[in-house]
Amino acid sequence: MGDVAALLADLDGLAVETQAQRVRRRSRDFYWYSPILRRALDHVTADAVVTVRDEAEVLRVVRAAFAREVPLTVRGGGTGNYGQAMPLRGGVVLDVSAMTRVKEIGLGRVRVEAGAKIIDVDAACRERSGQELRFHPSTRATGTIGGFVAGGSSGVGSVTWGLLRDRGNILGARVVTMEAEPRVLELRGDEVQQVNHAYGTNGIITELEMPLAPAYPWRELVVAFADFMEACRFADRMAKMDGLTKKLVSVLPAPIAGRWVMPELAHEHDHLVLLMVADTMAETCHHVIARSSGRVLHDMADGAFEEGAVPLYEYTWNHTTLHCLKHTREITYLQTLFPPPHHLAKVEELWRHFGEEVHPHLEFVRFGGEIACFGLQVVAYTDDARLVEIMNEHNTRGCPVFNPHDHTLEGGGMKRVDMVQLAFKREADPKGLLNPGKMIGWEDPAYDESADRRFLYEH
Amino acid sequence: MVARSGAFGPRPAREAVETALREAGDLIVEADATRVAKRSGDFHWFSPILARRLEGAVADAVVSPTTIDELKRLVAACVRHAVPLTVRGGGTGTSGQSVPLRGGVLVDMGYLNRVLAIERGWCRAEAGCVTGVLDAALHERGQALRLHPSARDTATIGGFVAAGAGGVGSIGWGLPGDVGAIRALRVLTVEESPRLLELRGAHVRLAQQGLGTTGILTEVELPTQAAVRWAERVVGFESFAAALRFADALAREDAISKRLVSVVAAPAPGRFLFRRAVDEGTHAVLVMVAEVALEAFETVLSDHPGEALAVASSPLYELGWHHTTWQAIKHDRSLTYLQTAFGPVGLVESILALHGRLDPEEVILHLEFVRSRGGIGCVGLPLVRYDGEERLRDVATLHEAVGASVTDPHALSLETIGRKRLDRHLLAFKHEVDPAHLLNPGKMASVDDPSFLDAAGDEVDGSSPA
Repeated sequence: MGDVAALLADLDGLAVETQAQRVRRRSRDFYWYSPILRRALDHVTADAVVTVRDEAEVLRVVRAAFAREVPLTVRGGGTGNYGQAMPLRGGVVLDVSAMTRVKEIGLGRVRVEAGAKIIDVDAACRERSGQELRFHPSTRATGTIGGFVAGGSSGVGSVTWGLLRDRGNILGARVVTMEAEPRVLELRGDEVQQVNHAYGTNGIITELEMPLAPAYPWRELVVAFADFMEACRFADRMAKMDGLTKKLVSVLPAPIAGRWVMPELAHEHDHLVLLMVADTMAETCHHVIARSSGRVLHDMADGAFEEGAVPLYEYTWNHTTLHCLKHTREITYLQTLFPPPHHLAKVEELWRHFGEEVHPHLEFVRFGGEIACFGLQVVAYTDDARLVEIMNEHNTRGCPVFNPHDHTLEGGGMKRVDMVQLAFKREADPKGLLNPGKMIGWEDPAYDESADRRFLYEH
Repeated sequence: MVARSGAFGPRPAREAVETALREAGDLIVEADATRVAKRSGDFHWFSPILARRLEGAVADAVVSPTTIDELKRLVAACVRHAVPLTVRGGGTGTSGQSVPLRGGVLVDMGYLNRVLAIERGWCRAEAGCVTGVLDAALHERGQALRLHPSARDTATIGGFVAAGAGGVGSIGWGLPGDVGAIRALRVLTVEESPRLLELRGAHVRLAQQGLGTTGILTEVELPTQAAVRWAERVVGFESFAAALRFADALAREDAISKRLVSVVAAPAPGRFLFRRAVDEGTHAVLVMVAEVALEAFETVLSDHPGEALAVASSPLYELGWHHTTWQAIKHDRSLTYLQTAFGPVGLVESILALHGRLDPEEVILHLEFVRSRGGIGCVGLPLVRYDGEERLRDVATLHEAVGASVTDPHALSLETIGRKRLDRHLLAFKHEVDPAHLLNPGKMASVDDPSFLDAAGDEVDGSSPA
């Protein structure tokens, strides 16, 4: 551990926070969704938080931290779920949320500083060009675009545009390296994968160039079904309608939909399908709904919200989990891929297998040219061993779990060391000071969880 | 008055046509036999079978209504005198859909061509509006048609709705028969007092892809997309498999906005599309991607052994879809074509299996990648050296053996072409809008023989067959 006091002296004139309570608050994210991470990471705190306003300040912090050998952990909105922005080995949290400039908007693209809130990027793009980001996390209002790229994977809009890892969903990234004389790199094409979903372990993203989609007025619909698989088949059919301009297709199963997520709207026996479609598509949607066994519970045009009303996407993706956690701490969640084309059969198989222990909340996405669904299942938590059993059961049955109860890249979605990201870290962070402890491959390049499933017991 | 007989059934007596036209009042009428014969044709000569069968199928007169009132007067008069009506748009069809089998009046919709509304996300136009004209009007407002035929500059929007099976843009938006592809259609009934019916949402299926037999389309309301700047690339491959695999990989890239992904097997690119600029061993992939996605496109290409070819041919879609067929047949009149479809399951494998069984001097594969029920499929428009109907059926059977479905572009009726499913709802609609069966007679076989009907009932979503 380097000399933090000396570093802070070097950074005189920057916005530095050292008051312990406030530092601790800004050293955390939504890791507490996971009972395992809640225990493992609860003590984690930085020594100080430095808030930078522009790239020049980033360079200044990097030079000084490198010289003093103090770890740096980059933080955006702090909306991650696996401690992505939590400084495991102390040091400085580099808060980039004041770097918010929208630098350029063109046809189909925007260039923006990494700390801009996603909702603000959308507002600027919508106002100036009638466009918006292709997809966003459910934490659109608080998450930053840099945090989404560094720690996210998909979200509201992925049913049309796929995942962040898909070629073309990140056009460019400007990255500052962690070296004695830091370099500023512009990554383009496949190079962006070096820092995409790398938790800020191998470079500091200062700017992003993202593709845009047309900003339609979105129509929100909630349709209730008496039968779970009926709801799933309806959702799948909507997701597969290529002519339907859409942004969200989610399934919230009974009883959690009515009990915890949308109690003001639904009963405990309702299985809900949540939809966001372009308002020009509402008529078509209603025709399709009318021929299904679903009942419309909610139908709201964009802009018809009363002040303070909650947008529909804030009931979906990881917000679904949040609503449940507000009612009970006896639950946690999974992140699962139900691979196409037999995803519905797998959903049904696991639903029947686990019953009320695993509530299959589903988000439909485009996946490699097909429609698939992710499960962000709400799980009744008993103990760690059972949670591992549940995850193993999914893996065994061909539905890979991106373990949200692990704070490392490899233990989460990656399963093994990403050699491209590791190679880039060796080049961009030779001393291993960026977000230390998150990339297992840095210490153990041979690590391969895909061959050895005991990883959960290792920390 | 004596009805005349023709190859496809009775034609109206000449006096009946003359009386009807006189009663219809002051209309733009073409009665010169040579000019009427010319305008009675379309691109059905792509098929040597149709060329032979349709020889001499001409109207008695061509009428060009300039208002809906004129159209109503014409329809009413023709109904009173039992004169068949065949509606014609741009005459770019390839199935003889606007060729009048039983004479009568050919209704040229070309003057009913106004753009009626452009709103954010949708537009409405009269059926006779040329697709390129509508698309240009949309572009002025930052929008664009989602789909258009390769004959964008001559085909009408009504003709595309009445007969189009897919087109430029289907790789992004699916097929014209998909849910949401058409917002609304307005049709005029063929009755003594013609009525205008507005069909919206799922009901549009009753009047689309009916080859002009299910009412006279007067207005079309379509969803639009935001205008995109498209970049064009032609990539050459030494092996067909490599070309197909590249096209498939690109088609599956959900984050790369695409307008066209076509595979044209050797020797067609060198022999017909690019002549001399490309050698005859080259298999070509024609690509239109959004300019913002060009870098991503290059990374996909770098995974494959193809080379970007320096051939300029803008707009590139005029070498895809039916324009591929046209370019080839223009140069080699011994060629004809088939229409096939490959579903998402085992797509590449089944096409490769088929390719292995074909002689490229007899059958040249041409595939258009499309979105198909949420996945990726292909529409095939293979070029076939014509050696009799029997051999053509053999080639179709080879396709079916690998799981492809084949529609028959050498047939005349909806049912024998086999692209649209006709059920009792559709037949009831036909009886409602055209009780005397005067509209494009001979193109809907179920009218005379209900055994053609699809007993399975109606398609809930109105989806097109895959």
